[in-house]
Amino acid sequence: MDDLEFRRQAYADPNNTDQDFLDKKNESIENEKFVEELKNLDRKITQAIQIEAPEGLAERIKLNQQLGEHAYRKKQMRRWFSIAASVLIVFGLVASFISTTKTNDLSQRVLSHVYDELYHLEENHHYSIARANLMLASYGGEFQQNIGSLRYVGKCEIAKQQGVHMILDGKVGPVTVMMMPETKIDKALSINDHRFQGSIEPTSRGSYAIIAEKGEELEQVKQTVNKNLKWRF
Amino acid sequence: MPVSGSMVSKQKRFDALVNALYADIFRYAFWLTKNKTVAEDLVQETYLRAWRSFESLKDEKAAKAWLITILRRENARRFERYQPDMVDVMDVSVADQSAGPKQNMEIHLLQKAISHLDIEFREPLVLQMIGGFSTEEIASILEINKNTVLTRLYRARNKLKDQLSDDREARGNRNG
Repeated sequence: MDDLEFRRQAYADPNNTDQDFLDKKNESIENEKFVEELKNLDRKITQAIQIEAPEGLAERIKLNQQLGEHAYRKKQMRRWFSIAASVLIVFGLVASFISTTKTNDLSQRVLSHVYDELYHLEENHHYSIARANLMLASYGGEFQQNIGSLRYVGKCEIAKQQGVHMILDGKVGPVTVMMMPETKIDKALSINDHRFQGSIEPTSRGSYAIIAEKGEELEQVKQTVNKNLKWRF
Repeated sequence: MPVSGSMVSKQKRFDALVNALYADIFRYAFWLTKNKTVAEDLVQETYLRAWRSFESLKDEKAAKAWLITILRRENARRFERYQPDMVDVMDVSVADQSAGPKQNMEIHLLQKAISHLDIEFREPLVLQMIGGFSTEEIASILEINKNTVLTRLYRARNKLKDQLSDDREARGNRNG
């Protein structure tokens, strides 16, 4: 092995145990010293690279997987139900009940998304607004200032379009805000059932939904969102 | 819905895989993206995908390389979707806290130098140092030939060494 190759191999892996390499290393004190220096550098690199993983990451990974599994099973169940429903439709038994308007449909879908993922209401991660902005960035969206304490932020498929699902702290309880940049509406739609209330608001890029349990004050949260949300394209 | 026996054992194996490897997989993701939040998202997505295709993991000794391959694919997909404005977030602390202030400075300098290495040099180095992978294994993960891996590792270390000695000289000049 010539000197050049020896140096190349030493740099590539100072812990190389090939006989050729070891023979060359033992040939002179300089060579040994050279490899020793590189091993010393490696010890430092190892220290620098071994950064600490965020606290509780392992638990969050397991939780995420279990929630994912849960959602997957629910989806499967829904698929079965939808097949059953299709059969009924084919037989014409429920044909007259499916003529709901498109807009009503959107409120319904958003609401059922809240029900499907009720567990998010329990989460409390104290995320920073940067996390929401990172997810909105691909749509050109940004919150210019904090909009309150963020209990949860995640990408979601909402009413068949990609969106960002956020949970904020309201005065009484959690407030769900779903950014739906791909879902355009002409005017605000109201959301209402026995448990939840809220609305879907148009923005210059799609819309967002704001929903909480009855008794929550939504107006102020809505104003904060409107004031801070900017779309760059 | 009843949970079958094989589900329970799959869950146990998965949990073991998380416990054993999450820290290294996070480190790898961090050095790939240089952003803690993005790295954590990538790790989450990687493990979710790993769970969904758990059957394809035949040999658990190969789990680390398998997870890294999934993570690289996820990262590539992220770039297909959009090119995020990345800020280098270098406020990371190291797992080994035994170093003194002078060593700490050197480690911090090295972290910066590593983060400034081009990805083609940074990635094989991180695989070698975190994954403990051989040159052949790195070549297969990165889908490049062994000689290229050797050259890139050579250049990566060379650059880091130069940076450290440049810094020492600079400090020496200031002191002298």
